[in-house]
Amino acid sequence: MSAERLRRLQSWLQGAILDPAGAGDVADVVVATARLPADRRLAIYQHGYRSRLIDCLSAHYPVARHLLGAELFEEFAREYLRVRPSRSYTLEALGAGFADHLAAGRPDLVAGEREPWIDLLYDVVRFERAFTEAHAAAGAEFREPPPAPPGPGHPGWADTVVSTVECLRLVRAGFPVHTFSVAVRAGQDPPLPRPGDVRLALARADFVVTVAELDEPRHRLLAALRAGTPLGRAGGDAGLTSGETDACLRTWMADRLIVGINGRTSHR
Amino acid sequence: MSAPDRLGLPELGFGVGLRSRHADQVLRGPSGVDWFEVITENVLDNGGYARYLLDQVAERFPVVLHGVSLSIGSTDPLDLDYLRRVGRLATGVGAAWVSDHLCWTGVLGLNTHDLLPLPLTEESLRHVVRRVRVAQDVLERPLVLENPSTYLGFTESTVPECEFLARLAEESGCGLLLDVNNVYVSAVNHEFDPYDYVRALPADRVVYVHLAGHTDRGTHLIDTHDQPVADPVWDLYEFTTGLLPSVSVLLEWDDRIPPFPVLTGELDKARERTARVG
Repeated sequence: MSAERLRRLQSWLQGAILDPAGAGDVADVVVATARLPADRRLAIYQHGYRSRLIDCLSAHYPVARHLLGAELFEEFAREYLRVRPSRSYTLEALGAGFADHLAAGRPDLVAGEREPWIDLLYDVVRFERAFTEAHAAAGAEFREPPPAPPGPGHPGWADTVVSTVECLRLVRAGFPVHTFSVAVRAGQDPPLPRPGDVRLALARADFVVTVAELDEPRHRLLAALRAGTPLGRAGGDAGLTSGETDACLRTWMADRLIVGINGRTSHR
Repeated sequence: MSAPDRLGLPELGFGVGLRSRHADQVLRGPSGVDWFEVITENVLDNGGYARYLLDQVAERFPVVLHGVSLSIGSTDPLDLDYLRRVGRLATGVGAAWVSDHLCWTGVLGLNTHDLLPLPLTEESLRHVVRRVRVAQDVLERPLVLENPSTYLGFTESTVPECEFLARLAEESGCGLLLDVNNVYVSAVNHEFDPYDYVRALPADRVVYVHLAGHTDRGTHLIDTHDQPVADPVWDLYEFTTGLLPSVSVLLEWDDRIPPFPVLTGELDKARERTARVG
């Protein structure tokens, strides 16, 4: 068997697992046993692939699964795996494109009329992805707050640049997906939430994901600070006074959403 | 019988896979467990509790990194960035060694997240030997490779898996992780003698042994890691430890994970079976 033959054989097996309909004549490639013909031996891998990855997506998106029901969720998950098979060595990344996949295939937009429940589904999926990322990224556990900066009256205050904690995720949604998710994760079957804009900051304390609801100016401020915008400009752009901006800064430092000031961070 | 060299790697005793739900029992100690194995990909990019727990456990016990995504048999290029990060993680937590599987997980840039079987031929052996040497250079330590459970074989295969592994270890310098349950599962699925398989492996290269439960689907066995070790696997294990004195042993239980005392109970069975053969 040449290296090229090995490459072709691996491409064939992977293709047959990802797209069982295109497997061709399996008996030419796979040995049968007394108890199992070649195609049923291949089917063990075909079934195992979908089963394992759908289980993984179900674990990452329990609220979306609740919302859709198991059967429909698994149909969406199967289609997602077909369109966007994993390219990462880690299953943590498996669901990273699920929200975009759902958004790209919205049947209601094709039909020209937006369905609110699909908006809700899309928001839930984005929230759950942010939740997964906040759970796994580096947090501020065991870190001391960074050294406090001078107040707004001090020269240099406006030019202060902060570092936010790595696990911080900012989400905008058209429904209160956070309260809905808490109820579903607690095993309840809450009514579908009514539309209502929310702006959320997800982070982590003692390895538990935290969710804070912010108003529009503070959400914009935190987003700008995370992007590296100096304090004075970030606050002004968000429509906040220097005093309000400084109060946010100190609150978020205490809450460990902000872990560094002008490049100075505290370490574990 | 004196213990074989095993690449100079330590004898760790009897261990289990580390699970966050068992953290209290593990960290409170004594746990009845000598060492822990961690799935590499579960901690490699993690800055949360999984990595914290690993650091805590590594301060108290020997730990081993066991990977599932190296894809040593793939015809895609080796992921050198992944390997470098595994090497740094192993150094950071003082891992006793790094292991993965004789398999491939994907080609054309994709990952099926399954341990797919290789056609076992002279060419694929040369292919894997070359890649193991590169991986060991990047990791700056020997790689330990596990025999996977497999459910299909290729018409083009010409080399028995046990011979493939023995020659791979000899030619690449890698160590072997002998998963006794996988040998049994594959023996049933491919209709070979599991005892001949174990006999054919070089004892001085078997760094450690895995034990796990499987599921009988009637026409075949599946390596599910979700139940106690089956009796025929215990018998094969007892035979194996007779050939591999003082070999390190690891119990895997990855699904439907039971309370910690159930795991330590299985480890006690392993200790008893080992003691029987002296």
